[in-house]
Amino acid sequence: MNSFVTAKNVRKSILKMTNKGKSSHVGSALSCTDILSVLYSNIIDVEKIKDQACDRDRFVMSKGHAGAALYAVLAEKGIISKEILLTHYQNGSNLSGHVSHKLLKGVEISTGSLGHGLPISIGIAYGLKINRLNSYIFCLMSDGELDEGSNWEAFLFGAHHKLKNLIVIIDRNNLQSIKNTEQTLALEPLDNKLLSFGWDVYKVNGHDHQEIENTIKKAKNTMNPSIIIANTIKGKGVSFMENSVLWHYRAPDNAELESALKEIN
Amino acid sequence: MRDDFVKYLVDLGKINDDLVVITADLGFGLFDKLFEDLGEKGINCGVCEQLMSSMACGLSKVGKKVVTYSIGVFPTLRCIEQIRNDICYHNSDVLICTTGAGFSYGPLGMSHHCIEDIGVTRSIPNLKIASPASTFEMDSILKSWENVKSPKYLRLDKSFTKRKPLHYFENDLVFFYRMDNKPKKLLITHGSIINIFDNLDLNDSIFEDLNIVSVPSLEINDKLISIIKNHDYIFTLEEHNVSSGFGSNLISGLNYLNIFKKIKCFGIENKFTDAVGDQNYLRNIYIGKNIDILNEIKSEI
Repeated sequence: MNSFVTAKNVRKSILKMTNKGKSSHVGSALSCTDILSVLYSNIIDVEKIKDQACDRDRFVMSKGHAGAALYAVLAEKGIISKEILLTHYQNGSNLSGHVSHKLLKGVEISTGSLGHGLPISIGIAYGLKINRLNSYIFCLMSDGELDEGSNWEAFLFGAHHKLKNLIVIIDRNNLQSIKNTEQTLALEPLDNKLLSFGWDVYKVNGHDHQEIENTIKKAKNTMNPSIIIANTIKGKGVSFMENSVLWHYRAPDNAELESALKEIN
Repeated sequence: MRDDFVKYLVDLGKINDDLVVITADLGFGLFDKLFEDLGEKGINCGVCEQLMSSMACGLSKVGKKVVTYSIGVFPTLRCIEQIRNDICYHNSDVLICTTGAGFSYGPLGMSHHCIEDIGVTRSIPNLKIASPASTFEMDSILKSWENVKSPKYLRLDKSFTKRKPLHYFENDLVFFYRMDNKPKKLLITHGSIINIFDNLDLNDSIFEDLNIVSVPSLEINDKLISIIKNHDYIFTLEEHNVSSGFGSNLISGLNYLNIFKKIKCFGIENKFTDAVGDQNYLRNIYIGKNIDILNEIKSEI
């Protein structure tokens, strides 16, 4: 299944899951849907994930609050059952709001508290390097998460040790919990900051599948760790959710779900 | 103990290819030989305790056996969420080591007093915690952890007891330093603070009616329970905040097991320790002098 079909199905699943579970972070999940769809359709060997092969590529969802998006992608790729998606966020479910490795095959690392995914990815990247494995580690971060100091410790280390098997993708939707990133704690000029740390930095349209794929492939062939700043729109695909902090918290009700699904279709 | 621990790591590195040791830029000169042997598996990650802990989890995920190292409370309190969410929730094969337990770095001030870390770490599941009183005890702890592939926290003190235990149960990590059949009172010490009695004769009358056992682990095992059950009065002594340390752990653990004993805990009151001085000086101020503690035990019935 190509990444476009995957993304469309994933968006529909996210909307249904958040409606049924009355769960938060639908906007965050929609903003990274295209990135995840490209990764799991065109970059990561899904069969190796299913087999838990030692030389599989690893994916770490540092923005664990967008768990609905990862669950939906894993289901689309047959790594977890589609049947369980609608249990998301509900009593007795395996699908917690923030991703947990204990409950699901296919989730490498549990996250939720921000600023953990990248430092863990550093350890995985270093370990793969000294194990002489050619696998890659992909880490998806939110932009608001960059406020956490632990990430900057990791940026220093990643460049110092030239962890070229580590590719970080920042979901740059510009919105965090209350206001936009520049009003909260300015990140710009983000690319120059990261460049100055010694990483290879790329900027892409985070909803352009071809551009995402081409850039990841380019990033796999450098001598430094890479960061892809993916410019995205929070709530992408549903007009009334786009660029609105409200949908960091609210879940769509039945009428909103119907309207949103019509837009996706 | 610190040097002996590093010797242990040198030996371990020779037989275990998966060993990775990370220091957060502390241990000047300490790791020279070890890191020469380990090559890229010996890492100085910089003054980055959060990174050190999280990357230890990541390394463990790809099969590595990881040791993280720093001093005082830096490898624990500075990065407690990384220990909880990353190392412990992922049940990582990571040994966190601090040197400088208690008042080891006394003159350096409050920031370097490692006296609340047990309280914070003992509430995290999956984490084994131990504070040896000597290299002898440390060796037993490391032996008992040899096949444990889950998180461990080793608190090393600069000071240690020069005494060897009279009798010990190595697998249970219980070490008797004074023992006979009569006493109704039991003093359980945790960590190197047992060495405040090093200059006293354990046959002196002040120790009458008292057994002394060192228990470096926080685990309450059957052996310890049976020893406790054989005594009427239990005292604990530790160089840690008394509200949350070894003694508190013992009380709550026994309570959970429906074992009720008279227990008095000696340790540091729940206040900031802002006096300046070496370990012995601060022990005397914040815990009490050895004779005063023994007299208090003697008077407690």
